[in-house]
Order: sequence, then structure tokens, then C-alpha cells
Amino acid sequence: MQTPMIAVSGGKGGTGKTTVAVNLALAFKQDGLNVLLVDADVDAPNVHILLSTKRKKIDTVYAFEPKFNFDECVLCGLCAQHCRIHAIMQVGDKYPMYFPDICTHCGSCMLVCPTNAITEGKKEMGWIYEGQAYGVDLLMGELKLGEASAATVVTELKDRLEEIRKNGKYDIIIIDTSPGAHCDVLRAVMDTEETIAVTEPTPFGAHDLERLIRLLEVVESPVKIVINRANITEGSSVIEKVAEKYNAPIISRIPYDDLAVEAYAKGKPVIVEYPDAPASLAIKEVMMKIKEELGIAR
Amino acid sequence: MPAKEIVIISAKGGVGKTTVSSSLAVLLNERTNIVAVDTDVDAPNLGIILGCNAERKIPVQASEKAFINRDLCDDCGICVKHCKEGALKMVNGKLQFIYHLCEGCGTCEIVCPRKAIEIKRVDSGVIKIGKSRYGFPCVTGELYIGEASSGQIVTTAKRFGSMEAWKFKAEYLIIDGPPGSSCPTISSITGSNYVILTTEPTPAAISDLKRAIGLAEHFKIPHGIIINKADLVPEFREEVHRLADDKGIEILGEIPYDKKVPVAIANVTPVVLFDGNSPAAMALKRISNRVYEIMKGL
Repeated sequence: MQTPMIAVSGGKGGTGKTTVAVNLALAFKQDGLNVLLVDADVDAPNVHILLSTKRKKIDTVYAFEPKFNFDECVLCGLCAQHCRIHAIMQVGDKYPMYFPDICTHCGSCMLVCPTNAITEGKKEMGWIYEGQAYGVDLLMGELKLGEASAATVVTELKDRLEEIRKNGKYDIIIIDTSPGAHCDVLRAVMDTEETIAVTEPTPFGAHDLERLIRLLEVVESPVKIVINRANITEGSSVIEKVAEKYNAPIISRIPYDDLAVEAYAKGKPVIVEYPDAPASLAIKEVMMKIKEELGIAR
Repeated sequence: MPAKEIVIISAKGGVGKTTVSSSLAVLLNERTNIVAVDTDVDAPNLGIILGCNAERKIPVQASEKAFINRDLCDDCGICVKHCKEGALKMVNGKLQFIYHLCEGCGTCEIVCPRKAIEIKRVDSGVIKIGKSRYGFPCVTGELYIGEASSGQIVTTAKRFGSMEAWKFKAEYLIIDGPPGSSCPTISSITGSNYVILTTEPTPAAISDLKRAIGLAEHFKIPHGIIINKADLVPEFREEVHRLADDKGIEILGEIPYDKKVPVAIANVTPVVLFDGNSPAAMALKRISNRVYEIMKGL
């Protein structure tokens, strides 16, 4: 049996995705389970920061980049013709010009080059880290600053998870995603058993949540809604409307909690620092619900 | 003279980009002509709070996708090996295509021995052009759910913003940026005149602020910092000040934590208009004055 995986996402930024993911992971750990927490928000990675823990770099992620050897180039123009993003241009009897900033690393140019004028080079895109905090194992990705393609790093994380979930070391894997409803969120959510969508009771929260739910319609990861800081406005009805429209249950309303803010400021998870705080109790309840639904047991 | 571009980014989501940009738009509009542009194409919220209508909707065909002819495909799986995006998978001997992950690079089309795959251009987003309820023009870039070409939608939205500015003789584009530090954020600040880095005094936001500063420095764009919820954690507020001092970055102003802010959002009104005397609104007015001064000097 494969280790169950859940994603923590939500659409809007700053709703508390990482806070929920971290505390949920700790709740599972406190319940006696072996937990792996994964940071797939690779262009704003914060899991290690919320846990005040050091990361250890275990790998570098590379992407394909064409290496040109003009001695072999016959000026056929195929590379430029097949580069759909126009990162390669070739005019007349001039050698191809390559614009590395535009390249999406697909490798088409090398595939179509009839000689050996293009070979496989590699470009550093980011890094994979591991760590541990409060007994929870961590696996984290980070995109190199200035690089545009987060996909390479997220894909590397997911490839590793495919192996990890087979080896039975963990009882549950929790993946923290980036905000939004784009392909890198989808990449992070793919193959998970369910998605916890953390949102806030505002029209922004509702709008972005709806986009996320529509994104996830293509994968089999049912969405469960958590309204964070549920009492900061009286606007939860906008979230309830989305929940109803898409048949996605609201499984928790975490109240705004001064103790949670205080713990956050200390760089400590609220569930560790204040186990009986309202926010901690709400997270534990979410944990029990997930455990029951997925039939997770030690 | 073309309109000057002010871009509000943060790397971390939910720290107040849209709160700052909506209020700045309203306040600067009292002094001069502006155009508001939402480039958070994946979770566009600026238009919601400014009450923007869509007088024109312009579809953008910024991406390409693979289309598989099932009559010709014999599930050989060669394309799967070459798909760097993970959009093609073999599931129980059958080729599975995940539309939202495809970037249309065309490697599959190249390697398919049965010519069963064709790359076609598709609609990937829409630019909405209209007026806010406060009378100034606004442009919203919206990426279709799951699409990957966010950078191109951002660039297109900015281009339409500049055209509106030219039409209405606007002096400034107020551009609400996307979270993160990858492709869409890079596109939003490219070619801009000033970048406002929004942050809050928490470890996660500071870590992401450093990435945002890195981008502004990398692209050599003048920038300043706004500390939102500034009184949340005094020691981290000091850390933002130290960071700004070290880097020689001006702190444009500090917005105190103010419970009126989420309530203003729930009432779909920029906080400076919802309650002009609230502490957050007063701070935003001072910030707007400072930004106006800086822009005059650029």
C-alpha cells in the first residue's frame, strides 16, 4: 500500500496554508504517526522558517539547456523552427542565436538537430533540502532566484515522493503548495488523496478558492475547505456559497487566535507552544477527520 | 511621455499587496490620472475591490497545447519519456494526457512515430478593460485556470494598461503584482519604474522579502518597502528595519494592524474609503504622499 498524501493549498496567498500544513503535520506526529512534510511552494518556501529549523541541501535540480557546437552546425534552421517559445533564432547564414532567459528547457532543439551541433547542457534551477523538526521529517524545494520555471523543482519533489510513498517509512505525507490556481499547484496536488483548501472569509478568499476548486476538478483529489481566521469578518457566507456550489465540505473554522500569532512570532508552531489554544484544538480536529476519512492507522 | 509604472509585489502571498495597491490607486487618482492594472493573473482581486467592469474582453492566445489523435496513437509511450512537464503519463498501458500541465513545447510531436500529436495554439487567458467604480480605467489580466503562460498574460495586461494610460493621459500605472518570485513576478516588474515591496513583520514574510529585494536588485529597479501589520511583532519589525538599512532601501511607511482592513475587504471597498480615519487608512495616505514625491523625482 502506498503512503497516503494530502495537499494543503487554498488559492489566495497568506491565508495560512503553511501554518495549517505545519501544525497539521505536528498534530499527526503527536498522535503517534510518522509524518513527512513537503514544501512545494518553491518560490516562497517557508516551512523551515515556521519551524525555525535549518535545512540541509541534499541535491541540486538541473534543467536541460542546449549547448551549441557551431563546428557541426549546418545552418538548417530546424532548431529555431521547432523552438516554439522563440528562444532560438536563426537568420540567413548566421549561426543560431540562443536566448537563455526565454528557454523553457524542453529539449526540442536537440531532438531535431540533424548533426551534433546541439548537445545536452544543464542549468541549475534550484535545490532540494531535507530537515527535521519536532520529530517530523521535512523535504523542501527552492527555486533559484531569478529563474522562472518552478515546475522543474516541484516535479523533482514529486518524483521523489513517488518513491518515498512506496517504501512504507511514513504513515502520511503532507504537501504545502504555492498560492494560486496554476500548473505548479496542480503538479503539487497530483496523486494526493485529498486537498485541504485553506481560505479566509473575504470575497478575495472566495474568488481564489473557486479558481482552485475548478483547477482541481481534473484530478481526483477532493477538496475540503478550512476557513482560517473565520471570525475576522462576518463574511463566511461567501465561502459557504462556493462550498455549496462545488459540493466541497467546510471541515473546520479556525478562529483568529492571539496565541497563534504569538507562537508564530516566536517561530514556534502554536500546537507545540499552546496545545490548548483554540487554533490548536481546531487543527487537531482537522487531523482526526482526515485520519478517519483516509483510514490511517499506525 | 509614457506612463510610469509602479508595481506592488511581496513574494509572500496575503501580506497586503491588493490592500496597498487599491488604496494607492484611489489616493493617487485624487491628484493625477492613473490606470489600475491587476497582474496577479492567477488570483486577480484588484478588480473586485475597485469594482472594475469589463467593457472589453480580449482573449489572449499565449500558449500552445498538444492534441492527441486517438485514432493514430498506439500507446507506445515514447512521448512520455520526452515530456519534461509530466503532462503525458502511461496509466495501465494507456497514454494519459494532463492538459493543464502541457506547455506546448512540441517535443512529443517531434518524437511521435505515428504523427498522432499536433501542437495547437489555445486561449490561455483574457484581458478585461473597463472602468473602476471610482472612474479611473482598470485593466485586469486573468489566466485561465491551470494555464502556464502567466508571464505572457502579465506582459499583455501591462501593455493594455499602457494603451489605456495613453488614451486617458494617465501619469501612472498602479500595478498589483503576483505573489512568489517566479515567471509572473519577473514579468510584472520588467520595464517598470518603481517597485513597492510589501511585507509584514514575520519570519516567513521577511524571508520572502529578501527574495523580492533580490529580484528588484537583479532587474535594477528602484524600490522601497512598506511594512504592513507593522506592530504585529516588534522584534521582526526591527529586523525589517535592519534589513532595509543594510541594503539602503527606504521604508516608505508602516501600516499598523487594523481590524478595519479585513472588514473593508469584506465590504469590497479600499480601506482608505471604507474608513478614512482608521489607523491603516491614515498610514496609507502618508505612504501615498511619499510615493507621489518619489515618482515626481524619477
